[in-house]
Amino acid sequence: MDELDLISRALPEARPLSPEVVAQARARVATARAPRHRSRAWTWTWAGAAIGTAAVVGVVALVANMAEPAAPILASQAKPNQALYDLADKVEQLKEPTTGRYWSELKREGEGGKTATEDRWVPRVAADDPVLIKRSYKKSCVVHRLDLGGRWPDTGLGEFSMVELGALPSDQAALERKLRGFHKVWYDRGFKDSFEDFLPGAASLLSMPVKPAVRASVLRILAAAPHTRVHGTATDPLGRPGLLVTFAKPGAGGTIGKVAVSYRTFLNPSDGRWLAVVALADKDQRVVSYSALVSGGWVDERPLVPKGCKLKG
Amino acid sequence: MIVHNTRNGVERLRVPPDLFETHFEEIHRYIARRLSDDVADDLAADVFLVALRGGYDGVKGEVRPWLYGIATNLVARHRRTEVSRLKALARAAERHVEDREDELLDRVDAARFTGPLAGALAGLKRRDRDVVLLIALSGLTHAEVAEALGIPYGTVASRLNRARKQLRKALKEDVDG
Repeated sequence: MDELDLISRALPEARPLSPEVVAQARARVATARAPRHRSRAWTWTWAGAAIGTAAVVGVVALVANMAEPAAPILASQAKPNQALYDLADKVEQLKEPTTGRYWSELKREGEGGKTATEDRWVPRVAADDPVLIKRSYKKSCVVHRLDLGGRWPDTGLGEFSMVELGALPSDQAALERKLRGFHKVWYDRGFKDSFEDFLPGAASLLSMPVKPAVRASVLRILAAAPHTRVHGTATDPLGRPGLLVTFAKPGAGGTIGKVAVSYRTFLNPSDGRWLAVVALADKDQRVVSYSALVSGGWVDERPLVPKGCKLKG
Repeated sequence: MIVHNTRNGVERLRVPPDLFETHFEEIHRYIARRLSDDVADDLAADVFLVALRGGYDGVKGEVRPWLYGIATNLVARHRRTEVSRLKALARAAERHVEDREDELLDRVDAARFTGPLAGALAGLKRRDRDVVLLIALSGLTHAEVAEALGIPYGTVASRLNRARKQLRKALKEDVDG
């Protein structure tokens, strides 16, 4: 017996893996596709890419703690899901800017009484560097490098280049066929969710730079999805009115820490975009965490990395 | 190896089907033995989140080293937890060893060496410990460890050699009393 064999035998054995642990892990990985913690999507995208190769810029700096917002307050109760169809009709008529060098988003996030902001710049073309600027409650400032290769950073629904995002079909039937293709990819990866259980992930398209007509089709597809429930107009964590919707089936939210949560999405009543996502504790409906879009859209200016940040990766 | 294309019908070879079902248990066990069962419950899922989002590239090698590499990187974020656990194991084992005379390595009850081994592992450099524990707990070959950690084969050998010397020394001191 050599040292390595001895280690294998001498270190305490793991407890037998329970079906519950496996089920929770499987659900957590599967439900990670749904739009929720945008920053975590970035975190994992970056972590995953760090295992391969890299090249972007991200920054972590300081922001003050802020109190956790109160749970959203329902202002009215709309006819179930009809509000999504109405919103789709409105969005379809919009004319939005389609030019710009970067898709820029500023988001605020909160969890456990602490807030952070995330400022991300995704270039239209691969030649420009994507930039992620994170300001947390910690006094740290780090610049990461990553090569997104001209792709949209969140891959929970599917993998898109910026060109592919711009070319998504606005026809509802054609878009649904695309979504079925994305579902097959996940299904083949071993996540045997039905297409209906997969569909809530399509809500992530509402935060991506797609044409208004595409967003309208997404809204109609989601309105017809079996797990979608419109709760009415409510106030989001930043105090703005939004259409409050649940896309995922009950129990699909998993846990944050040890707290079982469900995710609800606020949609901008003007343009149908994602406005905020809140994780509500199943037990008492308090807000456990949230992510809210402060601003977003195409811009021509280039991102500036604040001084004093360390380059990492 | 059969791998599936996640680019929706386009160019790259990617994540194998049933990745989670095939490998979750062993990845969970590896993390649990390095950190704890409770930490493994969360961290093992993280491994697959990273894996699925980062994607599998067939040119990088086999799937198991790739997953163990991700797991090892995530375990590294819990370095203090691991060292504390190993030190606690060393202290606990010391209290329970009453008779350890004249035992040959190939005949002993391995648990008797939990203490000195844990203490020695706690004292290793993290990068050396990663190599040792990848081989001891996952059964990866030297070449697979090199793949997992993204280091040359020769570096695996040198780290392992250095670590084994320290482990032997700790065991010898323990047997010699």
